[in-house]
Amino acid sequence: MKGNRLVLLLFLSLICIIYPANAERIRYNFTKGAQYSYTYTRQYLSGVTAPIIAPRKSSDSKTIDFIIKTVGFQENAFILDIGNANATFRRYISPNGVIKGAPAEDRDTIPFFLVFPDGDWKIGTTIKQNTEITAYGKKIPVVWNLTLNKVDSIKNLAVITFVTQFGVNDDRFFSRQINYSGKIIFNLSEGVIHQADWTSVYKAKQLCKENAISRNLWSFEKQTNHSLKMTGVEK
Amino acid sequence: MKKGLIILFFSLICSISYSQETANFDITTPFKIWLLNNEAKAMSELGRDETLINKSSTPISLLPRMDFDYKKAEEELWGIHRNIYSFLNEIQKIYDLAKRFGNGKLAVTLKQARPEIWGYSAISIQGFRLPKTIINSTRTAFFNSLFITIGLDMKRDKDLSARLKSAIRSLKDEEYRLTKEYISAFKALYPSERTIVQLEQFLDQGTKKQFATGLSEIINSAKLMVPEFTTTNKTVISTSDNEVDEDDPLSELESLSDSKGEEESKPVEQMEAPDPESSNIYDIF
Repeated sequence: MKGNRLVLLLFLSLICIIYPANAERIRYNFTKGAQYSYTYTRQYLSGVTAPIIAPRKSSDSKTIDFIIKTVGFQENAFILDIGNANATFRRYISPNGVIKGAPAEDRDTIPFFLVFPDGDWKIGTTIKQNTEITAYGKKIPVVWNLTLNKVDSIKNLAVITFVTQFGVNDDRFFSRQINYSGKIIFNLSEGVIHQADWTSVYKAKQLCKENAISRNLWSFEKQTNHSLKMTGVEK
Repeated sequence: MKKGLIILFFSLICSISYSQETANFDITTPFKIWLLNNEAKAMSELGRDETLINKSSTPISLLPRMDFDYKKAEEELWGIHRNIYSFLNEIQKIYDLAKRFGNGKLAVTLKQARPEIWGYSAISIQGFRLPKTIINSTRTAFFNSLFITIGLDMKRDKDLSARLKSAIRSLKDEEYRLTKEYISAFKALYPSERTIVQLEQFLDQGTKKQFATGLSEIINSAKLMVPEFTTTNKTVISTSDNEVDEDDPLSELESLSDSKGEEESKPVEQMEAPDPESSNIYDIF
């Protein structure tokens, strides 16, 4: 009997040891007074195809450096000053990434952000978050699919991938697709994003239809590559 | 005589105004509207989607706002379309001129009526002989005014076929091919639209053969009548193969028209012969 109890205890303790390795809690944990430096690059590629003529392509990119200063933590939200020498604004961000307040910004300037799940997140599981975005006076349904791909317990890094689907409507003459996919490397020990890369791809086609006749006119393709890298931490 | 002059004068004014009022030779507007409409649709949809993309492309709540005016590939396409619209406007102007004055009726009317001499014909009938410089400047002023009124440019509109070729050359090869492709698409979508067939035929055939020779004749008539009284008179006449009476500008014009060949002289031949009575007034010069 005693032997059975011992085996059961051992089994339970083994589960307790193994379980944290299979799940992780992803949450921001900014240190008060610390400064986090980032570099954000956006590369824009676009192309258009018309009948007969050669496809037109263009590319452009822009990089900015910015600093996140942690002012404090209040009412379950980090008080962060985000910006650089040109402009700084304050945001109140909860540990799961929700912007709880942004006094200097209006609705249009606040990013359409994803939210980390509360509680433990099992490695390999995908969490579906249904939300909506307001653009050109319409509410467009958006689904975030977040997956915790792997956790490197030695480097203390978690890899999160995400895919986004937009409920955009097509009509008789214009069809489009918008897709987002990306990867976030989260520093578990610091409680901040270490690196993130994501891409948005937009494809659209315009055609002309009259009775039973249809003619392709133009195809548009736009791709935006984003890259966010942490360049330093000052405490 | 005076009655005849008045009738001729009013018939000339009426023929010009009639041709201007009834000039509904629009062959490009339906096609332009179709292309503009599609372009507007694309711009509107792209603009809306751009708003959505910009708003949703920063999924991390820590990111600052980045205003970024980047180069867009579609701008180049809209640039090509702007060239196409300019080209179509030019084609419309050429077609309009060709339809209004290309049949040669105005040239024949001018040749017959000689309105450029009406101003001083009454004085001349009385036996006064005006200096040639005054006659020359009066005629120049008349033709300049006439061309301004009816929208003609002597240099530009002398040869409409050349003007059409020049308009086509103003587009790059691929831009012209794209225009033709759009025309073909529009024609397939709206087979009952006659203007697009006319536009296509005008572009195809206008470059292959000379058209609107009647217009060249009007301009040539103005050109020839003027230098006849200038010091370069003899040089001009000496280039002509036909013998012409130095004092009669009409005979020079007629000889030139005859030498242009059968095709060009057709519209002139179809018209009624000038009234011998009315031609008498030219003899006094």
